[in-house]
Amino acid sequence: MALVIADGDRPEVSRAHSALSHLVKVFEPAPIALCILRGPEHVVEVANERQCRIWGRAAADVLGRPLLEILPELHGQALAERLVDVLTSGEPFVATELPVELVRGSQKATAYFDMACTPLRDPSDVVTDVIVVAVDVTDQLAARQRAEVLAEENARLYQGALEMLRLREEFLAMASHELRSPITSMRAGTQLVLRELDRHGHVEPEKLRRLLTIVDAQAGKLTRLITLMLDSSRLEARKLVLDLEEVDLMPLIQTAVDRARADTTRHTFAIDAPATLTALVDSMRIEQVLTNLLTNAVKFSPQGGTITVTAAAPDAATVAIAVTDQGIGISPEHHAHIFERLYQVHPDGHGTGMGLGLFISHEIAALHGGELQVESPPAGGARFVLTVPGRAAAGVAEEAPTP
Amino acid sequence: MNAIAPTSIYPGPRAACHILLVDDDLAVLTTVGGLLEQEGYDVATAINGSEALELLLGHRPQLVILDMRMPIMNGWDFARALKARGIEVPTLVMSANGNAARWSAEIGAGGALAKPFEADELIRQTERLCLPA
Repeated sequence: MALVIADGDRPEVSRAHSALSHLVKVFEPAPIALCILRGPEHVVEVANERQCRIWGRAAADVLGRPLLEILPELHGQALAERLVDVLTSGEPFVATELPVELVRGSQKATAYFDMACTPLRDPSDVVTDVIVVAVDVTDQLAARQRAEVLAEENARLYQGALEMLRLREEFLAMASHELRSPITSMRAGTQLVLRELDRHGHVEPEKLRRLLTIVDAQAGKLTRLITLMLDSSRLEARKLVLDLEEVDLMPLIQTAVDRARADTTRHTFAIDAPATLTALVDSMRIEQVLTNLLTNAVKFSPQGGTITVTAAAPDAATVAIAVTDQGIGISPEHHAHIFERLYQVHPDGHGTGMGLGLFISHEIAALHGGELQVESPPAGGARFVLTVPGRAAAGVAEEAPTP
Repeated sequence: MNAIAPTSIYPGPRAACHILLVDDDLAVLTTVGGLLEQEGYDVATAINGSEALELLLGHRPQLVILDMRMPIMNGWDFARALKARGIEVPTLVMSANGNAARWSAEIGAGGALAKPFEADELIRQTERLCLPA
């Protein structure tokens, strides 16, 4: 398409036009839009091919017509106001990414332009026309915005990955600490016995029994820690399966209490429960949960005190076991997170624990169709309440009511 | 704990070396304490920094063997409390954490034992740091 100059018969502009026509010919095939708008009505005198394409009009439809008649949607927009300013002030207007709303077909769309509007003056220095040079940067802007969104998304993913790495590293440090602790006593106890044998050829039976009991208990602790780590992976892979059966919970409670008692000299344990309490559970798993709750109760009441286990069947379908300590307690802001994997309530001070025990206990309760909940009793300390399916679920007849 | 008569190859009156062993793990106190007593050391135990501080004010040991992560009062706070009271006692940091050596430097201790450790290493470090009164 040829560059078209309208109104070339106006005597006062014909000279200017002959000079301009050379210039604008250069711009006709240029990849930028160029137009010259005359007078206060912005009559289109010149418009190159790129400009016509932006307007969505043929050259013949725009030349000699006021801009706002061609593009009524420009009314009230910044561009229209700036064109008036250039004409009246004689000051050029330069903008980057200037939004212009254009109607293409029946669709309204916002296009963005890098734009320079320069006044053209007649020989008496009066501003008569405005020459508008524009580059449509809509696509670049969109691409840049997409790139920015992508970059933000990337940064977020990267931060997430870093955070996961950090958690994993913290977990490994914590796990190796936890695993080394029982090994310390096992090795020290064993070496104590061996050194005694080397020196005296025998070890007092009472002393041997005491040390072997410690080594055995620590080996048990180590086994439970390894089980925790495996369970955590199994839970993540949804591969932890329960072996449900009708059981009396009381021996399980007693075993867990005895185990916790071996870890402390400063706590008393109280059990408030009926003689038998039937439930439909995986007994190994429930013992694991109770051991976890009781060792936590010991660990987080370093000053000692009483640890109370209350068990009852509030109705035939439910058994509730509560473990209450008189320790440092758990402030309510942790309640919402305490059952999350790797969550640490006491990241610095106590720093003992892998952040797995309560997570796994909670999941085990849920797999039973039960619950594990945390409470902060008004008297202080912490209380964990485990509920599991009771004797109704176990199909036990009603003639064995719980007291 | 029953002290075993020392049959050590090391010379010196070890019974004159009072050791304060601090760890929140009862099993560690019994077994590690037993190893030290087997060598003829006089061992007192505490289950956290605060209890250790109380013991230490009454009866000054020649060496503190200190776990760092403990409830109520951890190793750092214990070391600070000693410093605040102007008490200087040789200290051996004992930790299952990989940072035992760094922590030892942090509190100005004389050495570090990474749990678990060989009995010989425990005795060697104790020997080095525990200078009888």
